[in-house]
Amino acid sequence: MSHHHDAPLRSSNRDLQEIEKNMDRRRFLTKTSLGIGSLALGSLMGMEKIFAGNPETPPMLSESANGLEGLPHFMPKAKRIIYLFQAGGPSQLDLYDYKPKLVDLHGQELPDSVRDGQRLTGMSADQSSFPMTSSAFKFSQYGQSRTWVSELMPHTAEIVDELCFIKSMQTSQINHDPAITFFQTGHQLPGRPSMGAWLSYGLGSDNQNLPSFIVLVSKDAVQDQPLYARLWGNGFLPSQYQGIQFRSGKDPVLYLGNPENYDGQDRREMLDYLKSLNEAQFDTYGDPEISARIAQYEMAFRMQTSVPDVTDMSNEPDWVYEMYGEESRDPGTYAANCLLARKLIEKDVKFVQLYHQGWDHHGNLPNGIKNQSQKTDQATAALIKDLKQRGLLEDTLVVWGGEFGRTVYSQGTLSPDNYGRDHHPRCFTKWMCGAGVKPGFTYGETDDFGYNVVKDPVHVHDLQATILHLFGIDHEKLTYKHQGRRFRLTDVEGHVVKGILT
Amino acid sequence: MTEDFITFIGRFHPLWVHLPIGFLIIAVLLKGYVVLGKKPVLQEAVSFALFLGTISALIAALLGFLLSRSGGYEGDLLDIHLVAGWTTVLLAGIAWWVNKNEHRFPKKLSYSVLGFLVLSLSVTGHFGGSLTHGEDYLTAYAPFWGTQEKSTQRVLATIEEAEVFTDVIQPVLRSKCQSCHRPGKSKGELNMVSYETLLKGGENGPVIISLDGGKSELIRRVTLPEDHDDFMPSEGKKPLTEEEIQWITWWIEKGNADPKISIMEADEDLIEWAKPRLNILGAEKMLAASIDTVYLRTLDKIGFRVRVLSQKTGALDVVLPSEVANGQASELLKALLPIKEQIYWLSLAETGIQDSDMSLIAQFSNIHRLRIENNPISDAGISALKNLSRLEILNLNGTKVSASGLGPLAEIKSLKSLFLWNTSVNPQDEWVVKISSEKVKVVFGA
Repeated sequence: MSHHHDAPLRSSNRDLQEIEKNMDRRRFLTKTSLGIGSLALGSLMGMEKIFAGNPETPPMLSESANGLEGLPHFMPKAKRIIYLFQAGGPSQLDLYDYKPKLVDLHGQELPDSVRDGQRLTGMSADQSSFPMTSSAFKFSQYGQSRTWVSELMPHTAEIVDELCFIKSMQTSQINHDPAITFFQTGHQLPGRPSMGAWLSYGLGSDNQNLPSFIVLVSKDAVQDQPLYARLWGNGFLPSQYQGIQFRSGKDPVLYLGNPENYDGQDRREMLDYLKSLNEAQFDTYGDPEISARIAQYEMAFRMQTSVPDVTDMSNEPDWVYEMYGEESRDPGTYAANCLLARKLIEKDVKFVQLYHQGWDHHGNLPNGIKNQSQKTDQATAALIKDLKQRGLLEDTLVVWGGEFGRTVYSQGTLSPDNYGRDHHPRCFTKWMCGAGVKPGFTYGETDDFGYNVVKDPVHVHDLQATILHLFGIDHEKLTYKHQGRRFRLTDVEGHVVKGILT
Repeated sequence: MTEDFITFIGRFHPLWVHLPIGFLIIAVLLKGYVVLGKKPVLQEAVSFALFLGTISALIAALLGFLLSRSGGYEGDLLDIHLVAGWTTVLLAGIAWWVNKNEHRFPKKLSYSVLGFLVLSLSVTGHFGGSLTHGEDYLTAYAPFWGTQEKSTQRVLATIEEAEVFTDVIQPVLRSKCQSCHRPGKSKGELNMVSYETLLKGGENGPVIISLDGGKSELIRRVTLPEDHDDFMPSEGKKPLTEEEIQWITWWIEKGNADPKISIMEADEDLIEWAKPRLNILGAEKMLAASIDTVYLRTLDKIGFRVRVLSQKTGALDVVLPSEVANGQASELLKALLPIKEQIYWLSLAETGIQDSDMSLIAQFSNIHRLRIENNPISDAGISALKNLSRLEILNLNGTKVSASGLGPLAEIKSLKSLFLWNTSVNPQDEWVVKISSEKVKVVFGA
């Protein structure tokens, strides 16, 4: 048992005092009373190793890092996920949620009965008028599924038969940071583990040479709203489960090469010694963060060879760059990140999280959204096609979407060729694609105003529950005890959206 | 009012009974010490412990009598417990008298009275326990002779034969309700052992209102918040799972609470849930191979990436990374033979496997997803795969297969997706057109 050891307890040690402070009374009592009992039994039986498999041992101590005992809870459909997060809140009304009736209603005041007393953001609440605004962009139907897509997304329009649209997404947050935090961690306040961290914690890694959760942020986006590393953080989970952000440039991870005149021969030996020191420290204090540190040193060591290998773009033929778009030759762009995501997925990285900022179009929406779409449409569609032809879409889930939608009324003045849209949490569109979700399918419906959901609402926690479900996880059972309570990604809510599952 | 008071007092019985047990057992142990340890001075203590035991046993018996009057307990178990209890009181009293006046009685009498006391105490305790927890509580999980739950499940020829009440609801009631609602201890006068008695209901009337789940007391009780006074199963016993509740609700609402209705009429999800719980003759054994973690670790050391897909079936996802294969794939694959039934997903992409390796792969009879892309595999190797009767996804990208050699794959009825990018096969080939029309998705390059 990790909390019994032969080394004398040195209370003068500052670290130890820190841990003692962190150990609450109840935990102390249960651990010590259990401990005395098992000590007694252990000495009676003369078998020290009898408690080797104690469940109190932090899970990361198991060498294989292959996830938690008992997981997956049932047969999974998905093995990996690429989450194409469109930060800022893309306007569903101008991309995917076609509302032909708005053409006639264009310029008219939003009826109070539709808004139904909803509290608006401080940015548009003081407006004297809320003119409903039809999209400036033309919609057409595509594919066998006859899905409506606006002219902004011509490449995505080609792949609609692979996609599963959820038109009835809802969130409880109305501002960027809380809304993204809510999407990625299940709670609007910072501090909870992100979805990728939960998946790594529960299911472990499929490729020990690469982090199981990698984050790529577009360098070519309008950085209107900031992103914080806590969005891919581990929260209270042990820290080796946090997302590893690759740099958006030529060298995704710095300092992988050896310094001049050093051949790296003795590094393994150095790390082994360091590991034994850390293990001694762990035996004394039992702090799981020490195991996390050991795991991270080892991961960094393996990444010295695995990262240059997987990020080497030289063996990608020209047609690949043509498919993803010319920007894909420029590392760190959204297109290049899509291509890199495919390469990481090929290496069985479990969770690749892309972020593309710049969808926050409060004003001048028609221009802004056109630029955003141009930067992302082709590469997004190329990624889906590429995954499909390689057979990877069978066990990879792709999710596209932002943290909320945008209002049907114009923020600011509605002019003949310009408008803006404010944040709208009551309805927005996401799409999923690949492992376990219905292709060429649309789920949920909004009203003719594009303001409220009228059929099959899907809340953020529902989406999270569904994603975990596709990985074979019962979202109610993947928990972690912290500060006396068991936490989970979906907090106390979430229902699997069975209607979109194959 | 008085009845409530009787119940109140009576319920101290389970708490109190442990006291006489303690006194009487310590008395017997002390007696042993007096005799074997030759410590006659302690004889006084034996008598004293027996005295306390007698008094407390008498109180326990009275409390027990009150408890039995408060209802919910009946039948043979109760009678035996009652008689054994009073016998214990009597024997304890005799033992006390004999020990107090030790010199007036032969030693043998003293020993045998104590012997009978222990016996009677054990019988009382055992039947008391059976009353509270159910008759098979003690032995249900006994490793050798226990009446394990499985054995009570009847054997079915096909899943279509399964009836909702007998094969799905009944086992749920058995494990979650019948420890209290059964003959001998029908709490609330409800006996859930048979369909007829269940339908009859309890002291507050029927618990099942056919076609109306919302009004059925049974559904209401199990769906209340767990801390509600009326919540069932009570007293911290394991609550019903969501699926169990769904099944019962479905049976009442859609199934008209008809005991003979077939489970096939329920939703797919519910049927899927019930399937592994049924005892179907000759069915694919659901609780298949257990996971041999030691062997998996060996595979891990070799360089295979092995992941458990399902703890229930022991299904595994096995990947041989190309950098590990390093030209040795044929040799390495043999290491998978001990787990050949457990491989559901297998990836051997770019490992250099050849036609000659296909016969080995064909032994992995449970494969659902097979990735053998970018390997020098030709038509000759493909025909071996036709026996993989559970194969759903087959990736042949970048192999040397041709349209004429794919014919045998048509025999795999479970096949859903076939990948033929970077092969000489093209979408217009007659075979491709034909198999596409048979609901197999054939994917070429974008």
